[in-house]
Amino acid sequence: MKWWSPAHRALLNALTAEDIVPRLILRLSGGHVTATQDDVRRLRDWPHALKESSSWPELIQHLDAPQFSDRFEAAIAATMPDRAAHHHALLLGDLARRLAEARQYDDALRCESWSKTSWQQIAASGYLDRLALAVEPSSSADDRKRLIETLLQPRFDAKVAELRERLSEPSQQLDETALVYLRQWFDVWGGFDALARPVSFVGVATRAIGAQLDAELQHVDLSSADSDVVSPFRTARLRTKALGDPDAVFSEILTRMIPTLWSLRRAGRDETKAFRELVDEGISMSDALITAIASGAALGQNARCADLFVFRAERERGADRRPFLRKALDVCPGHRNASMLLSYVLLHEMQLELFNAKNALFTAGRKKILAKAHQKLREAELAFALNEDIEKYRERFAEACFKAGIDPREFEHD
Amino acid sequence: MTENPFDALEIDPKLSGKELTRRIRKIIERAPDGERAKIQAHWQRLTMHDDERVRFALLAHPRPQTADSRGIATLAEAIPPATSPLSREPVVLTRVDVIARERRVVRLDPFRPVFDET
Repeated sequence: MKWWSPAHRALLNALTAEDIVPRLILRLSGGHVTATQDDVRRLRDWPHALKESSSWPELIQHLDAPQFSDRFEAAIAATMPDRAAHHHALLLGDLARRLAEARQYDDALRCESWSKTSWQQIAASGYLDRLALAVEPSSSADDRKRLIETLLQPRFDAKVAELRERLSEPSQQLDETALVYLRQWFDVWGGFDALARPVSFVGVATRAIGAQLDAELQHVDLSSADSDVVSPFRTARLRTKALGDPDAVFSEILTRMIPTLWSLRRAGRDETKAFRELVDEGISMSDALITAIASGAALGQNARCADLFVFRAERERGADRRPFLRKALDVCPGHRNASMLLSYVLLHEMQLELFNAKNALFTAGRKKILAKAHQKLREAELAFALNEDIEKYRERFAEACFKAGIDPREFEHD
Repeated sequence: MTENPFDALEIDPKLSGKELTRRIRKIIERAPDGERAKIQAHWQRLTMHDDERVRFALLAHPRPQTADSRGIATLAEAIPPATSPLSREPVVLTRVDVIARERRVVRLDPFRPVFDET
């Protein structure tokens, strides 16, 4: 008989696992997960696999030290034996799930990140392919490749489903902390395509929020004064905030908000509190969207942003409308409604100048005021040449000049 | 969440299909009545499609033979009683010993060595 038999090895591994596994799990989970007997039994091979790593002496020496996780992170970043990395990929994914269920999101994300590093290692080293071949020696290389490329797909799909579910919760039950965690989860796994099709978090979130908004707007009667049209948009805004305010979601919301505003305007509800609140909600998103438009990150939303500023301008009177209309034309040069409204604002200002000219005491002052009025007239024409009132105002200007004894042609070349 | 059948049954995923069936049959034989249906369900999941079996294997913890999942007491019992190899074979003294003493066969006891008598 040999002194050191497989039976001895099995017993030693079992005893080592009894001692090491609970301590490792406690450390790696930030002190939040206590190992079960099932964990210890399932992970009997883990300490043995870890011992094959060059980092083992340091890890075991600092196992109960508070900075253990830093050393562990460095160890897995510096590559572990494949068998140990396989244990880590699975165990840390499982710990992340348990930590997220216990709402220990920071520790959960750290475990996710370690799990991802370990999956990356065993996918890149060919370990998974070798293991698949050992399990099914008759499998073809293509079959194995196809299987490995979608190995974690169910896990990704489950997270997408969870995100959709959380985004469909009513605003009172919206769990912002969980949504932030989900956003960070997708950040951790972003761009990882070795074991699953990459998922665009913003894409999923945008479609989910858009679909939810559509469903909620179906129950809103825009022609009724009692219908609450603001809440669905406010909830969508709240969801967007928890997701880190992605521009694409703003864009999705505006796509629904602008037609809603037009419908309200057509129904004669554009001077209601709801209309104003809706415009303000939209404006609060427009700055970020304008920045995204300028950087080329958002496309095709220029006219919608400009519409918002026109609606906002309509709330003001006279010259107070100008800053909003200028903003509208900055984001969407040539925007028809903004140009037209600006043209009218300028004609109105010109009319005020004509009154001022009438009241001026001296000819020099009158001429100066008339020059300003002429400037406004020219700007109004430039803003919207099709403004049918321009001719009428030109006549008024000529009349004012005549009364002041000044030839209107004097201003032509200013 | 449904447990991976390899993890649930504590079986080495690298076992061949034949060995797998033999091991599971053994597990079922030893399992209490209430557990058998569950084990059979795991076995069905493992043997339904080859692709699925490979997928489960990649998503199961490595489980080499040395990671025997039996209880520690059972594992300790599995170790054969320790016996000294010195006690198993009679030792024949060399010529040097013979010069010193009369030629005879000595059965050495490791706990009671034979001292040179001066």
